[in-house]
Amino acid sequence: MDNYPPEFILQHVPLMAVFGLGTARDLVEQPTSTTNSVQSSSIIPKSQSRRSSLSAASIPISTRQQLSRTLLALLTAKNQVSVWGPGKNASAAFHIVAVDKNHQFPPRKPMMRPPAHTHHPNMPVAHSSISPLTPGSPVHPDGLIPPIWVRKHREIIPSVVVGFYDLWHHTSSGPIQEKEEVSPVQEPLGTIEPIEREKDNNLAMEINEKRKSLLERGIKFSVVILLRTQNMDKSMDDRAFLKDQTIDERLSYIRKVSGLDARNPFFVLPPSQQGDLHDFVINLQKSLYDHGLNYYREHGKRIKKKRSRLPSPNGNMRPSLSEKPSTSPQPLSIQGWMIRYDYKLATFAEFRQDMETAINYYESAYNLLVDLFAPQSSITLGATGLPIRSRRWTEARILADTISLKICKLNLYIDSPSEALAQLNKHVSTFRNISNTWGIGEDTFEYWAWLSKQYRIFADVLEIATKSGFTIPDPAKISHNTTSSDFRFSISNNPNIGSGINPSMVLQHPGFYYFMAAKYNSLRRKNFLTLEKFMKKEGFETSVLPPQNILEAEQSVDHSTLTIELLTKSYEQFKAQKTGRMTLYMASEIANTYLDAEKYETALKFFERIAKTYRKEHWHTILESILRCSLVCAKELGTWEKVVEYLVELLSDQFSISNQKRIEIHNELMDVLFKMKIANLPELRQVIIDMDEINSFLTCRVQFKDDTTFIGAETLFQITFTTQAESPPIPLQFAFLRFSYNDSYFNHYFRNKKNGEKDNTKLEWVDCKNCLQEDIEGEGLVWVKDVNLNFSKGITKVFEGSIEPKESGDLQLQAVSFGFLTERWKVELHFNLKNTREEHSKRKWLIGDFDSKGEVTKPIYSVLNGTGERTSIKITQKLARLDIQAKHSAPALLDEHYPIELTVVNLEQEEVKAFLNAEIVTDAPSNSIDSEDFITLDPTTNVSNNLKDIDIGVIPAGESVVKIVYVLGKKSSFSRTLQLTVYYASTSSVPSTPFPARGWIEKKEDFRIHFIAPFVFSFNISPQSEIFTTGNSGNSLEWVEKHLLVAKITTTSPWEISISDIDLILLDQANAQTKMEIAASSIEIDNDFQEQELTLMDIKKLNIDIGLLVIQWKRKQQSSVVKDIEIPCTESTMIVPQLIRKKTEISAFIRIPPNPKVGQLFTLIYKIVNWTSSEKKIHVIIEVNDSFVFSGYKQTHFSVPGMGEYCFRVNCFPLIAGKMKLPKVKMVRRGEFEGDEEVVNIISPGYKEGIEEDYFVIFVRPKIEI
Amino acid sequence: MNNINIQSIAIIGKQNNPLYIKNFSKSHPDLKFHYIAHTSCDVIEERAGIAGSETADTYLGLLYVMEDLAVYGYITNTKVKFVVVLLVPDTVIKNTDMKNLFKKIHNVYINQVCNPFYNLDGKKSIISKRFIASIDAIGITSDDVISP
Repeated sequence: MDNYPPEFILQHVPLMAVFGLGTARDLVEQPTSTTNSVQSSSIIPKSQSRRSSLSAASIPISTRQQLSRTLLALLTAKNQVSVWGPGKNASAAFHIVAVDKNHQFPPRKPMMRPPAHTHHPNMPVAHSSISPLTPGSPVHPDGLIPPIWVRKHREIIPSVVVGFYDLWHHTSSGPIQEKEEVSPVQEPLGTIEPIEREKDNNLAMEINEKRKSLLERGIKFSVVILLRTQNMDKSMDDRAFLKDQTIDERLSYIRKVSGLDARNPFFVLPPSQQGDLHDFVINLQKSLYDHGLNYYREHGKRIKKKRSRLPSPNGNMRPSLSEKPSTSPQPLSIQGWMIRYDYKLATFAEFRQDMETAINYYESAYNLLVDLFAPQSSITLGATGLPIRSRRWTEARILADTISLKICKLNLYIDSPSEALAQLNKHVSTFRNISNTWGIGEDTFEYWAWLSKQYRIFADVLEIATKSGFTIPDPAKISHNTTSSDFRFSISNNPNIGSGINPSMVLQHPGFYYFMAAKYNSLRRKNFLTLEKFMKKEGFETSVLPPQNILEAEQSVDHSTLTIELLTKSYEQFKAQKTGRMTLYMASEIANTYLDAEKYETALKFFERIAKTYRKEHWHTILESILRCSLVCAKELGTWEKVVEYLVELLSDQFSISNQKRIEIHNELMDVLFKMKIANLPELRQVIIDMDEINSFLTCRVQFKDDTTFIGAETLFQITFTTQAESPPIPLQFAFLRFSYNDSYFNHYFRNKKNGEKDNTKLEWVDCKNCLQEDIEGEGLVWVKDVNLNFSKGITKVFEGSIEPKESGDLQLQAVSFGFLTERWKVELHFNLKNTREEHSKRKWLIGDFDSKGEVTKPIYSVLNGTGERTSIKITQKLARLDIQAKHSAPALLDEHYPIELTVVNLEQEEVKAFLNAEIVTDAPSNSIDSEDFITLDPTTNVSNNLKDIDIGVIPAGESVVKIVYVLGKKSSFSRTLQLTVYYASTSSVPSTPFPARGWIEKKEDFRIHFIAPFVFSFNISPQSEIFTTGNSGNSLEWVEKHLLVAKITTTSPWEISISDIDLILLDQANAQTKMEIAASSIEIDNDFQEQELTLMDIKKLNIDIGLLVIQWKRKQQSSVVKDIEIPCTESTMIVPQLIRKKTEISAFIRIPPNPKVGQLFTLIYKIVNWTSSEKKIHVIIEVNDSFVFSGYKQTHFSVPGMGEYCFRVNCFPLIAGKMKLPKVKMVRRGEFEGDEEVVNIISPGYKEGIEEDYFVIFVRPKIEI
Repeated sequence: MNNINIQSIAIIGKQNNPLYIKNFSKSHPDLKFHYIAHTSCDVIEERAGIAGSETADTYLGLLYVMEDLAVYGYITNTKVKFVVVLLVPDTVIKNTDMKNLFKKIHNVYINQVCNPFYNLDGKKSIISKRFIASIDAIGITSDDVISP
C-alpha cells in the first residue's frame, strides 16, 4: 500500500484550519504530543491518537502559550491520517491543520469562464496550477489527476477557518498583541476605556479583513475569542463574569464591527479547565461541521456543472496511435476529463462523507479509466492514448488500483462486503484480461507482482476494517439470490431458507487474502526465476523483456521474505480465528518457502513442528510431503541423524508410495548407514529413533504368558514383531535386538546370526530361551544369544524368551530396540513399552517347539486370557502349600499344661523338610516380658514363651505330621494367641542358609486360645469364742484368739477336675494347728472346712497373713489330644486373705453361757482387756428388760489395770422362754477430762455382732421340755 | 447442478483422520486437497459446534473459499465429515444441489458402514472397491456435465 500515493488511498474528512494557536511545529516541541506532520503517510491507529489527546489534556493551563498548546493538541488529536476513516459512524470530526495567523491560502483560480463549446482542448489560461491545461503542472497536458490535487483539498485548502483571538487587557502581552504597551492606569471596572475600545476596534478590523478574504473563496470563517482571567473582575464569581456588562459590550462591538453576522459562528472561550476545553473542541467542530460539508457540496455542484458541459466522447475521435506516431503528448481527451471530473466529484462526496455518492462517482471514473487501457475503447472510438509503460500509463494504473481500493473500502463503510469483494474480483479479472492483451499477462512476474499487491492491499484494508469494528459476515448466514443477476446479499437467520450462495461473493477474513497475496507472490518469484533462466540463454530476444529498470528493481526484491511476510500475516489472521489446522497449512507453506529460499534450518524447524499433528491425525499424504521436504533440508544441512530418522519413517507403507520408490528410500538408508563416508564426523554416531512417535514399518507387541509369577519360577514372554505388508521392500538385517527391563539383570541382547537359507515363512517362532550371560561392550552384563534378525516385508517373528525372577516385585519390559551397527553408526529403532499403548485384541500366545530333529515345528496361536499387552509381570513369593491344623479341648485352664495337637499337612507335590516356630502371646496389654506363660514340647519342663526352629522333620507329599505343644497360662485369664510359623523347603533343595532366607517357603497360622481360671475361692474368717479363765490371766503374757477360716473352692471349668491335695501353707506369723477335712473333693469342693488356732506373735501387728492355699489338681479326663502321655498334676495357689483386727485401747468380750433355761440363773461374763499400759476407768450402765431379772447395780464402775483385764459379771434370771434380748450393758470408758469418753464395743465371739439398738439375743429354753 | 464442478471429495473420520480423499481435479495436486480437507476440520468443528444440539443440521454450507476452490462441508450424526471442493463458479450454487450431493455421499458411506467387517473406529483409509467406485461416480458425473 505504501507504493501508492497516500492521497489516493487515505480517508477524506473535512479540513479545518486554525490560526492564533501557533503551528503544528510548536506542538511537536511538546514531548508528549505525537501529532503527525500532515506529510506523513504512515497510518496512525486511532488508539495512539487518543492517547496523545489524553496526555495533552493533562497539562495544566496557566499561560496563554499553554492554553494554545492544549487547544491545538486537543484539536489535532483526532486527525485521521489513516486508510480507514470513521466511516458511517463518523462523528463530526475535522482534519485540523494549524496555520500561522498571516497564512495566505492559495489564491482562488479566476472565476470559471463561460462554457467553451468550440475549442475546449485549448482552454487558455485561468486554470489551477495543477490543471492539465496549465503548463508546468504535473499532469500537463494529458495527465488525469495528480495526487497533489487531492492533497490540496486534504491539507491545504480548508473548508472552515477558525481564528483564535485574545481580548485585549492591560497586562495582556500575548503574541498577537505584542505591540501593545501596558497601560499605567488601572481603570475602574464597568466602563469601556478608550484604549480598550481602540484595541477592540483593531481586532475587529483584523477579523473583518480575514473574513472578507475567506468569503471570496467560499470558506467559512469563525472566530474564537479567548478570555483570560485578567479580563474578569477578580472579585466576582467565575461563572458570573460573562454577565459583566463591559465584556459583553466589548464582544458585541467586536462582532458588529468585524462584520460577522449570525451565520458566522462566533465563540467566546472563557478560561477553563482541560475537561471544558475538550468539550469546547468537540462543540466547535460539531457546530462548524455542516459548514464544512456545505463547502464540499458547493465544490461538488461546481464540478458537476463543469462535467455536464463536456461534449460526448463518442463524437470526438481519438487519433489512433498508428496514424499519429508522434511522440508529442496529446492534450487530455474528453474521456480523460470525464474521469477527472468523476474522480473530483467522488472525492468531494467522500469529503462530505456521502459514501454512496462517492462510490457511484468512483465507479463511473473507474469504468471510464479501465476503458482507457483497452486496446479499443468502447467509449471513445479509436485507440486509447495510453501507450504501455508510459508515464501516463503507470499513473493511470495507479489511479485505477487506488480507485478500486477506494470502492472496496467505501463499500465496507456502508456494510456491503459482497460489493467490496465484487470490486476486487472485477478489478483483478479486468486487468488480467487487459494484461494478457498487453503481453504482460500471466507469464510475467509483473502481473503476479501486481496481483499479489492487490490482494495484499485488500487484506490490509480488511484487517484495518475489522480492527475498527467491521464484522465479516458469517458465510453460513449469507444467501445469494439466484434469480437476479444482482448479487446483493441478504442476511437470513436460517441458512436453509437461502436458495444458494455464490462462493466468489463471500467475503472472508483477511487471512485468506494474505494467503492469496503470498501465493501470487511466489508465482511472481517463479516467473521471475524462469525469466532469469531465460535471459542466461544465448540469443534470446531482448524485445520481450520488460524495461531494464523494472528488471533491476525486481532483482533487488527478496521474494521469499515477502512471501513469508505475507504468509505470516495470514498465519496470524488464522491464528486469531482459532483455526489451528489452517495455521498449520500456513506454517507448511512458510516452511516450503524457506525451503525454496534455501533457508534449510528454518524450514526444517517449521517442518518438524507441523509434522506432529499430521502424524497424530494420520494425514499420511501430507506427512509424506513434509518428510520429503525435511529430508531435503536435513541433507542440505548435513544432519544425517535426522536423515536416517526421516528415511526410516518413510519406509512405512502408510505412505502410498510405489514399491520402486520405497526401494529407493531403502537403498538410500542403507547407503547412508553403510556406504557413505561423511567427513568431519565423530567416530560413532548414535541415533535412537523412537518408533512409537513415528509411522513405523515394524510393530512390536509384548506378552508375558502369565500375569504373575513366583520367585525362581521360569517366566515366559513373547515379543512379536510384524513388518508391514509392503515394507521393508528389501529384507532388512538388524545387527542386534535388545530387551531392556527395569531390572537390568534381565536385559537380553541378541546378535544376528547370519542364516544362509532364505526363510519365506510368514510366521516364525524364534527360540530365545537358554541365553548365556555375557559381558558385552557397551551393554554390560546381559543375556546373549545369536538369532536370526532378518526381516522381510509382511512377516511376523515371535521371540520367546524366559527369565527366572529373583525377587518379588514388578518386573517390566521397558524397551525393545532393534539396531544397526556399522563402522560409523549405531542406529537404534526404539520401542518404548513404558507407556501404555492402545491394544484391545485378545492376548495370543504362539506355541512353537522343536521336533525330534531339532527343527522348529509349525507354530500355532493359542489364546490367553485377557486383552491387550502384558509388558510387566508381578513376581511374588511362592504361596505355601501347607496346612496347619490345631486340635485342643478349649477352654484352657490357667496353670495347666494345655496340650495342643498341631497337624501339619503337606499339600506340595514333593516331600518337604519343615520347621516350626511357635510363640504364645497374651492379649493383655501388659508387656510380654512379665508374661509367665510357657510353651513347651514337654510338659515336665517350662522353658519360655516361644519355641524356635523346632524340626518337624520330613513330610512326604500329601501326608501330615502331628506335633503336640503344651501351653501353660498363668495368672490372667485373658485369651492367648498361639502364633505358629512353619517354614519349609523341598527336601531336594534345602537352602544352606537358615530361615529366613531365599528358598524357604513360609506359612503362618494363628490360633486363639481361651483361658479360664480353674477354681474360684471364697474365704470367710470368723473369731471363735473361748472360756474365760479368771485369776491367772493377769500373769500370762500369752494371748490366744481363735478364728475360724472357711475356704470355699468352686470350679468353673466345664471339664471335671480331680484334686489330689489341698494344702494350707501357713506363714510365719500364724502358728496354727490345722485340721482339715475334705468333704468333697472329686466333683465339687465346697465344704472344705478348716479350723485352726492362731498364736499371735506380735500383738502390735493387727493384720495377720495367714498363708497360701495350694491345690494339686489335674483334669479328670485327659484332653482328647493326649492319650498316652501322663500329664502331671498341676498346682494352683491361692493366697488366703489376711486376718484383719481392729485397733482399740479397750476390748470388751462377752461370753454368753450356752442353753439358758427359764428359771435357771446364768451369768454373763464381760471380759474387758486394757491394751494400754495405763489404768482405765469404765462406767457401766445396765438397762433392764422384761425378759430377765438381774441382780446387781444398775450403774457401776470399775477400773482395768494397764495391760490387764477385768471380768465383769452380770447374773441373769430368765423369765420368758424364746428368743430374748439380753439386758443391755453399756460400758463407757471415762476420760481424763469431760467429753473424752468412749463407748466400749462389746464383742461376742461366735455371736453375731450386736447392732446399735439391738443387743445380743439368746434363745431361752422353756422350763419344761416339750 | 451444472455449475457444480467437483474437484475433490473427502471423507474424514470422527477423530479428524482421513478416511478417503479423492482428487477429481486436473490442475491441482492431491496434496492440495489433503491440506484443504485437513483445514476444513477446523471450520466444520466450529460450525457444528455453533449449531449445537438444537438444530443439528448436517449440511454446513460453504466453509471457505481459497483461490479458485470453494469448500463445502457436511457432518454426519456420528461426526464423520464430508468435504466437497468445487471450482468457484461465477454463479450462485444452490444449497439444495449441494445437499443432494452430500446426501449421495452419505448414502455411499452408510453402505460402507453397513459392512459388518468394516471397523468403524479404525483409523485406516477406506479401501473398499465398491465405496471408491461409488464416490468416483459422484465426482465424475458432475464433471461430465460441465466438460462438454
